[in-house]
Amino acid sequence: MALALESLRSHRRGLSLGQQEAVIGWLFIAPAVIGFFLWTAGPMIASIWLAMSKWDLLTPPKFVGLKNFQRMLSDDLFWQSLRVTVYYCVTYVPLAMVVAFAIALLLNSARRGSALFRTLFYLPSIVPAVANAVMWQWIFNSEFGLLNAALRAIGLPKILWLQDPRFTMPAVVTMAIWGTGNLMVIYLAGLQGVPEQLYEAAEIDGAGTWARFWNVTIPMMSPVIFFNFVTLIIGAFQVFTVGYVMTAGGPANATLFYVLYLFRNAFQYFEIGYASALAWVLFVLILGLSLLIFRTYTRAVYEEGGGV
Amino acid sequence: MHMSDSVPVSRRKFLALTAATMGALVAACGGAPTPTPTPKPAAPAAQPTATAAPKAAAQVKLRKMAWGSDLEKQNIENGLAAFMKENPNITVEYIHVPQDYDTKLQTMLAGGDVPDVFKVGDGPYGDYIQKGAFADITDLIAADPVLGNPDYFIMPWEKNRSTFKGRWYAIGSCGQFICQYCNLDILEKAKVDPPSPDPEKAWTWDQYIEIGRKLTIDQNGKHPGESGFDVNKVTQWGLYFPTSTTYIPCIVNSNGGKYMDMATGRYGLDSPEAIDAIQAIADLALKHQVAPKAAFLSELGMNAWQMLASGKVAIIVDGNWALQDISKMGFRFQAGVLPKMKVVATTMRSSLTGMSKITKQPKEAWQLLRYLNLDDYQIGLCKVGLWGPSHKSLLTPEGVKKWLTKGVHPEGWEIMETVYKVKYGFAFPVVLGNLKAGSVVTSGLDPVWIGQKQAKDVLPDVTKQANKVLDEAAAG
Repeated sequence: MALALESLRSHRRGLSLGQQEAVIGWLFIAPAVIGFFLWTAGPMIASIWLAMSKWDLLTPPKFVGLKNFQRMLSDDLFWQSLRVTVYYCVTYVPLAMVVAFAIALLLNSARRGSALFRTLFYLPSIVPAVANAVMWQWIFNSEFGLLNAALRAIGLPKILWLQDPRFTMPAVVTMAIWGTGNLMVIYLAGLQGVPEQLYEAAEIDGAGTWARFWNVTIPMMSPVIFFNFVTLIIGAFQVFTVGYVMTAGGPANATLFYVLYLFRNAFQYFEIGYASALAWVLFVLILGLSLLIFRTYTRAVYEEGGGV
Repeated sequence: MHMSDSVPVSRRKFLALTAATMGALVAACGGAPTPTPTPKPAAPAAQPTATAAPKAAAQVKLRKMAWGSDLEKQNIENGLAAFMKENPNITVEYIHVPQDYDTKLQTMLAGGDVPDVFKVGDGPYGDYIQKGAFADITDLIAADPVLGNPDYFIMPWEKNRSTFKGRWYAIGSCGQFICQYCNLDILEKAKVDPPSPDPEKAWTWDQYIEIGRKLTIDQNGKHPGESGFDVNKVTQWGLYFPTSTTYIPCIVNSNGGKYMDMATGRYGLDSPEAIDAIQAIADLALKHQVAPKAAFLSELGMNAWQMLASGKVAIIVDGNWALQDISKMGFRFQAGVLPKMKVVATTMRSSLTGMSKITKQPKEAWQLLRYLNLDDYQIGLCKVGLWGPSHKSLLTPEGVKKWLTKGVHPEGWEIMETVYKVKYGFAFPVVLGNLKAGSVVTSGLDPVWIGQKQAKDVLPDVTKQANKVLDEAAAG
């Protein structure tokens, strides 16, 4: 390394030390920068143009202005996919937040075996998404599934989890909740970072379990909760795999997630232009939502010492 | 190391450099976006007679792409090996894409890196033609001593499914149809005759339901319709009719409807005949309780024939291609024609194989494509029960002998190939936008299969929507 730098320096006698360091600096970040421009910024810029074109991948794109965006307004499936995604978001996000937090609290207070349980609860989130979907397909199977067997055992009628449009989304959300191990680990890390002396001080002041929870744990955890909230919402808007693998968007488009519809337009219906327009609408939606949430940041999040 | 406060290599310069590199890379990846279908002058060595390829011929490498099961892959590879033996100057690389085939193909097409010979489903076939993926092979077929014979393929069926605006862009791989399979042990125990392969002896729909009733048993030995029958405790289902759009067209057309109108190229699912037929399929499970509800097999990731072999279902509806697997399951079975509503009807479909418009070796690609359409290649896949023939020469009494295989084809199978399929089979027109229109139909029918809605309530609207998609695609 030192040798390489040395030889670089000797070749560039004319450059000042600062200049040399700048060159070296740029060289070091070049792979990331080139990668960013080539694989992220490039396609994004291209997709702005594509969003205003009609392109089927095979014949040259035709510029159509804002037609793709106009088309969305009267596209029932666009609205359906948006409805489905919002439905998923408003059920999954709060549930996942609460469930993961509850598990993290339990694990944090566990005296023994916390490492074991932590592993067990984290395990589902490293199961490959497709394997996960296939396994849950079995659980939700109407004839032989575990869930309906349980219902039958307590005398309830069977439910067509994956065939009845009313039950498919609850089934999908249940499955997603099962995989919240990531979230739980982040919560747990946050919980372990809450200073013990705050609890002790609160206890001396006569605070009970609930009071300590509401007045110490929650405020101290608020940056973590906020972080999880934002990433969950962004993730929820981008959900794809489960709709693609397990339900194929069905039944009756009950799980036609936004990104699944986008994917179908791009790679099944020969509509790359329309798909690009859909992608930009999603981008703006997520951006808007994130900005909105960040505006609540100062009110919702307690910051100790003025920085996260 | 401290941060330098002067930045001599400006960001702008750096970005310009990056952009230049990027541009070069993009250009390098771009491929050839403007295909020119110039039929290159033939390589001097290649002659139509395969055996006489002189040694001097330059080695040519072709790529063929298709999907299929592992068994199918094996068979295709055997066929290609035979082709390469006959044509030592050609090496064929087989790209097997079992899943997400269209995604893969489309990205390859977009990148200009297209397999020379490839297969597509009949759903998106029209779209691929319109986007210029396939070479027009009309003249090549006409000039071919074998394929150009007007009596070679089953007509007008082959023409209907392979041509678009009068031109050929691909050829149907084979002749597939839909039929019934039954578990003979179960039927004999219940003293029910198996479905006949003879279309003249097709069951009526009422007979079909009655047989289903006899063969459906709950854990107390009760049949549907008897007092005390518990549909939640069925141990053996009589029938299984898959509710996908692969199978339901047969019954729609059997009832005198037109699933898709050959003349207009539009869905005809709003007719009373179509509505009745689709409701009748749904009612097998919902009203008569002789079939399991909804997609209970497919949601298990299990094939219908596995349930047939294990005795969970007595009679299933499936394609002739299922024979390849069913014949290997080691149970006694029989196959027969579909039940009819008014007339006997089955679909006659298959994937289609064509050659790329931008292939660099059009001559050799055609050689491979024509080989895939010769009797020899078709026989190989017919013998194992995956394909049904689409050449007339294989449906004559002598032709049948070439592929009918004991241990694979059950008794009377050849009647289904030579009479049922040829006389009562119908093809779908080649249209644009059918993948999307098809998904409109599929999702529209979902509530019907579970009894949430009636066929008559959804089909008029579904038909309108699906046809709107087709109209839009046709308009460009």
